[in-house]
Amino acid sequence: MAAIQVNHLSKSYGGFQAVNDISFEVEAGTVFALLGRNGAGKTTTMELLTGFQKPDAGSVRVLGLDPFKDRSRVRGNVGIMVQEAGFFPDLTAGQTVGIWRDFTPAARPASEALELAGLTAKAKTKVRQLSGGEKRRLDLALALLGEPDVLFLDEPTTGMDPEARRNIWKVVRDLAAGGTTVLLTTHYLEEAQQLATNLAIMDRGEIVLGGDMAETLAARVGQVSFELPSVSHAGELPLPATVRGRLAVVKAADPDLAAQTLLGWASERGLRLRGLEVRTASLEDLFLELARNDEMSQTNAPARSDHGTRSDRPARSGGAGA
Amino acid sequence: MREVLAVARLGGRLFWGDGRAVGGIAALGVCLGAGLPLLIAASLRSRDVDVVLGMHLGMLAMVLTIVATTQTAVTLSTRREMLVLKRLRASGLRGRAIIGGELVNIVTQATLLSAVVSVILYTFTYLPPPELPLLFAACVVAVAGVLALIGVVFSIVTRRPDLNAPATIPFILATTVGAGGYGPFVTGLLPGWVRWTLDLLPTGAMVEIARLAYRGGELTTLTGPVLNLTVWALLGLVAVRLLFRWDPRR
Amino acid sequence: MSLTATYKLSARLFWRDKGMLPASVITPLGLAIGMPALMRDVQADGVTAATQMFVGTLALILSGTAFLNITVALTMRRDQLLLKRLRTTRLTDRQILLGEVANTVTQTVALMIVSAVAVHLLADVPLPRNPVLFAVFAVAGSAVLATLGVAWTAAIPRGELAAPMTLPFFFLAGLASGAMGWIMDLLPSWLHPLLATLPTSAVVDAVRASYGPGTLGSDLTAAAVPALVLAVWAGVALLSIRRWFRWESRRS
Repeated sequence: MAAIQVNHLSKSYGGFQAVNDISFEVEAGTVFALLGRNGAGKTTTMELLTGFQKPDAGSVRVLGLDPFKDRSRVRGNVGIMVQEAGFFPDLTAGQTVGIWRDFTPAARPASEALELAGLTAKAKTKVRQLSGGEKRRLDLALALLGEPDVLFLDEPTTGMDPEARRNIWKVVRDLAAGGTTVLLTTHYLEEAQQLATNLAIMDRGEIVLGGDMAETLAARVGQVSFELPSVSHAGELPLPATVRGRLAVVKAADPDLAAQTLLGWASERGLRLRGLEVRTASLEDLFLELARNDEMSQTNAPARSDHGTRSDRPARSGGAGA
Repeated sequence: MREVLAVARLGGRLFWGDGRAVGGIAALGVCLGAGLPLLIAASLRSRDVDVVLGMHLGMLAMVLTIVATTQTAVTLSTRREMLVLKRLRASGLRGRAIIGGELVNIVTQATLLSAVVSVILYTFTYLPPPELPLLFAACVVAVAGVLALIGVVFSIVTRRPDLNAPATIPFILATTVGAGGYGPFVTGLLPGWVRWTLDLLPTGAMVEIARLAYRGGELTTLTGPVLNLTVWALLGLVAVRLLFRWDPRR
Repeated sequence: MSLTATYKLSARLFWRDKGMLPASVITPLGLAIGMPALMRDVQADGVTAATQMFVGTLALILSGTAFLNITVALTMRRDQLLLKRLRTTRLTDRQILLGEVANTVTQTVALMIVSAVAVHLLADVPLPRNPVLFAVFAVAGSAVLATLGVAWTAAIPRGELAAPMTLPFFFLAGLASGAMGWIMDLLPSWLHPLLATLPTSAVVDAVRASYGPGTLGSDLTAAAVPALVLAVWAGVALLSIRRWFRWESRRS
């Protein structure tokens, strides 16, 4: 059964369409990554899924319930790590977890939650003295307190050093292995590729690409590149290639097979393929590809070129001088 | 000086761009500063310029304390907490430009508000405009400046932004009582030493100077109040110089 | 269970907050004890004047410790996204606000009792003749003022404006109930009934009855109008919270 179901969900602020008719499902026990650039609509989607905002249209079901209307029932089985939320700066990390346990039925022991988030050494440190990454970890500790069935992580590792990041990845993987459903947003493509089994890429409030991670990547082309031997020209190659200067690039769904074909062709002729590089598709390529398509569509429709200055949400008014 | 004005402009834009804040402060200032003297003037059976002037100056002291001291304290510590002060410093601005700009901005607000309140009273009551309007204006500007400087000190002493406003309440009460904002009877009830102490507040000096400005008289009698304001200003500057912090407490 | 948890959190944040105590506890307490003590010594009919003054200063405790305090605390927590964080937990909106209100009521009532005892000892102000009437209105008044404070946060755009935008009520309340001396006598008479409809004035009126001479019957009569006034304000507060309360800073 799907732990999270999203059907034709839309949300706008003022005149700005933050989320535009998106649908997806997250199977129980899987990790789902929501990707996109700043302003793509990830955080708004997260706010709708966690019941902080009411959708304009469409529906959200988390564990079969409407997170906005049945908020307190949904909260019992859900852990949320929000991107922007404050702490009480004068409480220590340990005290914060202790107080949150009062809010959470059947909570994990405080020490266990701190341990999971890697904060045991900081238990007696005041929150105002924690670094940005440590605050994110405290956030995670709070989200994990109730042993949730569904975990929402909004940019969970922002501001962390690589080691802390890998530790968090391990925690997330262990949780998923234990049956927890995880939905995360991230800027880090590597993070999504490491953790998620499914993904959706958002742009301008819409899902432009989504599905199973492996399949999505497999469907994108990999590439083989090499220096074209001086005696040859592109037309001789056994596979269609583009040549820039002396660099030949062959696009192929299975770049390993393509490389074998090319190497076979070269050895028959006693040639060497210098600088041979085989690259399977990565999220990075996918992003670049999407960006390129985007640029092209922009040159066709310059009226839409304003998206670069948008943010996930309209800026909050106020905040002295902010 | 250019930097000071740049910061003042930033603060001004933030303040005036926020319609709700302007409305709130303006409504508060006008209600407190003009409302009470207006009502009292309306209900007195016989004309009594003294009582109305006393109320006017007492309430002006209260409004100036809220708008200058409280606002400065809260604004600066909020900006400190949100790391805005740090960011301004990182942009290469000098400390005195940042604080000075804020003061200029606050003093402008306070002066404008005082002008509105006073004009309302001249229009709708029999309170005559001051004999020496320039002296009155200078007095308002100077007192607002000193009160704002005290606000900077408050932002140092009470570190958290949410504490600043409540922390200034005793100060507001003291300046108001001292300046006669609670009516002539209460001031009359206070023991001598309390009255003497309250007169040492900058608002005590303000009442003296403003009374002279309204009625006219020898400017030489103002040595005391001017000295008073100077001492407060110096104390404030020294405290700010020695104690001001740019980073939030860790 | 969760209500106790939010209550505990609010209480903990309030009392460990040493910086807030001068404003939320010491100032109102100082005024409520100091002003009557001053009256006792300088007025001819000292005890009566002190009692009058003390009952009036309860309006300052109500508007300072209950109204101002909860307004400042909630707007600051809203701006710092602490309310949002509390909402990530299983707590319902009602529990979060009720915990805060209940805690504010406890503090306010405690201060009222402490100051009543203190002026009894220091200024010979008698203890209330009808302590039940006193207690009922102390609790109901604090609750209504705290709820109004919650509602008022909706009108405040930013945390730093919370105190400046709330202070006028503090002074208005003190003015209307005689805590600021007898300016009332200088004000036009048509204003008096209006000021009497303030929630703080309602509490002060009922408490005044609990101090003055009377019987159970006369107390009930004296309490009727104040009770009605408080009920109306409570209704106004609850409806405004329903309609306008914001959990996060404005986004427009």
